[in-house]
Amino acid sequence: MIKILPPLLAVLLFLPGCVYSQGNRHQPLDLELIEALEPGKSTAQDVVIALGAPTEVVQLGRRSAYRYDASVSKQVGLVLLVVALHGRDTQEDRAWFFFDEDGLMTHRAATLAAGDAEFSLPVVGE
Amino acid sequence: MTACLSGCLSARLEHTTHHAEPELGVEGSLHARSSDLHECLEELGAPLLVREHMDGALLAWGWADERAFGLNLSIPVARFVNANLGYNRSLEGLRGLVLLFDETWTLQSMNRGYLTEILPEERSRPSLIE
Repeated sequence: MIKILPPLLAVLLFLPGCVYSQGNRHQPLDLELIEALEPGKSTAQDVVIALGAPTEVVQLGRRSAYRYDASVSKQVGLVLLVVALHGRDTQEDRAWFFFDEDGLMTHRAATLAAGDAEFSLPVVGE
Repeated sequence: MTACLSGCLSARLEHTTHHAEPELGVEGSLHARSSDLHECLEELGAPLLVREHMDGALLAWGWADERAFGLNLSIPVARFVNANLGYNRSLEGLRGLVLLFDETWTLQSMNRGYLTEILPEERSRPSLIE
């Protein structure tokens, strides 16, 4: 057993290696909850009750905007002796709510793309 | 030979994508001094960044779809001395779109390019005194 260990390790050293990893930040946003909040009717308080604490609050003079987000990052790596390939795709769910100086929602925007993140290796000539 | 190759020559190929680029031509339907925030959000979706700018606001969208490449050659020239030759084309960052709005949420200007180059310097206004 001890005799075959060094050649076995030498062979393993030159075998290709592959790595997959996925990182998630925050919970995915719920489109139904977002669409239930309507500009001209919902307030900042309604938004916080429905979605929880925002990731970011931006002051815009006397007005404000709240940001909610969640992201998925997928990475894949492949090492083939002298060549290392690495692909990373990060996609995000994002929602912004804009409020007037009385805290009434004036505008709303949502982009839900976190679920579209993919594992993909770079391919020459792609 | 393989041992020599793995020790002397290495190549790296990297592909990074961040967020999705808004559909091409979308900006064509947005016009300075006539489009409002509602139209811009409908066309471009949720921005990456919102911040106060002058008396209005700045909204930015960003995305990246880039390939980086690296090649490194290491040659032993003497005992404990190696000569290294490398070539690297690295990632350049997020490309994007920056829209400036006045206090009535009317679009004032639109810039496209690398976000690090087109984002105006951030200035914070003094706190409001009630």
